[in-house]
Amino acid sequence: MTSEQKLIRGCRKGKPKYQKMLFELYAPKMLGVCARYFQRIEEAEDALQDGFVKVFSNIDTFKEKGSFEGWIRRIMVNTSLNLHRSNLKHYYHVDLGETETRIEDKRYSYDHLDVQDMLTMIQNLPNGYRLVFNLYEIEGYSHKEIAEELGVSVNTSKSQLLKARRKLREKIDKQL
Amino acid sequence: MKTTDDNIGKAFKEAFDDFEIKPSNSVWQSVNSKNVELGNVNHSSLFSKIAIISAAAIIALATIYYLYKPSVNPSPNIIKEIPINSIDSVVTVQMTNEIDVSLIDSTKDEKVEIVNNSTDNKQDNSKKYKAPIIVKDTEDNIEKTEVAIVEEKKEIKNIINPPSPSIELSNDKIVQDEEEHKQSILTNTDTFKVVYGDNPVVCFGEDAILFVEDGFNYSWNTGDVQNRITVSPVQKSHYTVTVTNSKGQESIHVFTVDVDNSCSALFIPSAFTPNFDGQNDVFKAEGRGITQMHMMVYNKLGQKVFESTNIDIGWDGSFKGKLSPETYVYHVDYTDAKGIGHVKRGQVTLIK
Repeated sequence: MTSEQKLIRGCRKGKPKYQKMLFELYAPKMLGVCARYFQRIEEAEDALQDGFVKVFSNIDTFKEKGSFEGWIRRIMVNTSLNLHRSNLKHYYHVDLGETETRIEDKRYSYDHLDVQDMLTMIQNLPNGYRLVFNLYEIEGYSHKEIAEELGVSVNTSKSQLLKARRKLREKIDKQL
Repeated sequence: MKTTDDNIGKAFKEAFDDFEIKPSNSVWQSVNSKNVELGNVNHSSLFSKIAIISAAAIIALATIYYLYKPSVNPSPNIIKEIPINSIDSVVTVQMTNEIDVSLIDSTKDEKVEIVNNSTDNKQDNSKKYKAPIIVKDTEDNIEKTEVAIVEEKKEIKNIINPPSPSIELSNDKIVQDEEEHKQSILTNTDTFKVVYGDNPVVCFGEDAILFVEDGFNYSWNTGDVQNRITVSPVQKSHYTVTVTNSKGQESIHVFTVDVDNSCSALFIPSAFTPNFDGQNDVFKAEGRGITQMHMMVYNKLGQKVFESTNIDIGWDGSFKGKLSPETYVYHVDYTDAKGIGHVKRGQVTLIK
């Protein structure tokens, strides 16, 4: 039995020692995931907390074939989306002051960027942009999946992604 | 263009691949307490096993002690604690959480009365006050187990139930006792203190506020659970509240809200249709017994389009000779039949 399996078995039996080990092993990484979905870190910690309670409640349903980290990560993403869900319908209204800025066709380099700066950029995106960008670019969802998950049309998902990228590029430009 | 788009996503994905943030300590504490709450935790160490076993033993001992204590050693103090006016009523005494003792007391009390076949109420009362002493005397003769109590209850039922000249009398007595007991719940200041609000009289269409104070839990027949509720009856209505105090004792009170039909709250419609079909052509407030009213209507540009101080005169919807279908805002202040001033603000839509 690998140490991961041992950990999972312990958690299934509800042993507090293993639960704490599991939390300490995955919490920092999962907070890194949740943090991308909220403007403030406190909201992300709320999601992390709810997510871990779900992990411990539903650990019996985890089939030991797939990646355990992937399973936890999926729970964290879904929990984060759930916390947004009640407000989702307000996210995809087009702002009246939205201006179409012409993007110059030039190549960008992102090597100089610090991950903490990138996180701040994502956190400061409008909620709708942030969710779509995270799900598409980082979690690797398709537009169809995003549309289903967020209850919007595929075209909304696509346009939000384009706008999110544009916004991020503007921010990177300003940093240079 | 496309490549830059793809690059930005890729750059972010790579950057966040191994990204970690240390959560604050409170997160694990919350998760852990939630886990305990949901039963996701299973303490199975030797220590906790011992703890569970010893807890069970303590509970068992306590149970045995409580079961036998009242009958083995009936303390006169317990009898004294029961309010005098509730000794003769089984239900009231039960509310004082001294069920075991009270059963003996009250049933025996009745037994004494019935056996004596007393017909005079006054005589009855004098006996009641002596009851604790009688109880104490007979107490010693009773077998000291719960079974004895149950048997005695049966015996008493037998005494009450068989057809004999005294049945009617004793039944009446019981009914009378129950009524006395109901009143004593409301007025019994020794055991239960609750302050009830007045029975209000409201104008038609007005809200009434009902309240109870000094209870612990409140359950209204309207489904509310607060101590203060707002009701809007259209006719004379009764509202029942069950108040529970911190000891679990219950008290029921009925509020009566009377509706005065000679006056009413001001009703202001939210839309009107000035198309001369005879229905809702004029925007006006309605209410009975309104002594004074001042209404102003403004359009969306903030211009005053109508003003009236007479409740019978309404607005036909025209402003500078034109009907404009839009939403207007109104401000009405009025004095009701009781001389109380009110202000109402809202919106009204003109529909052509």
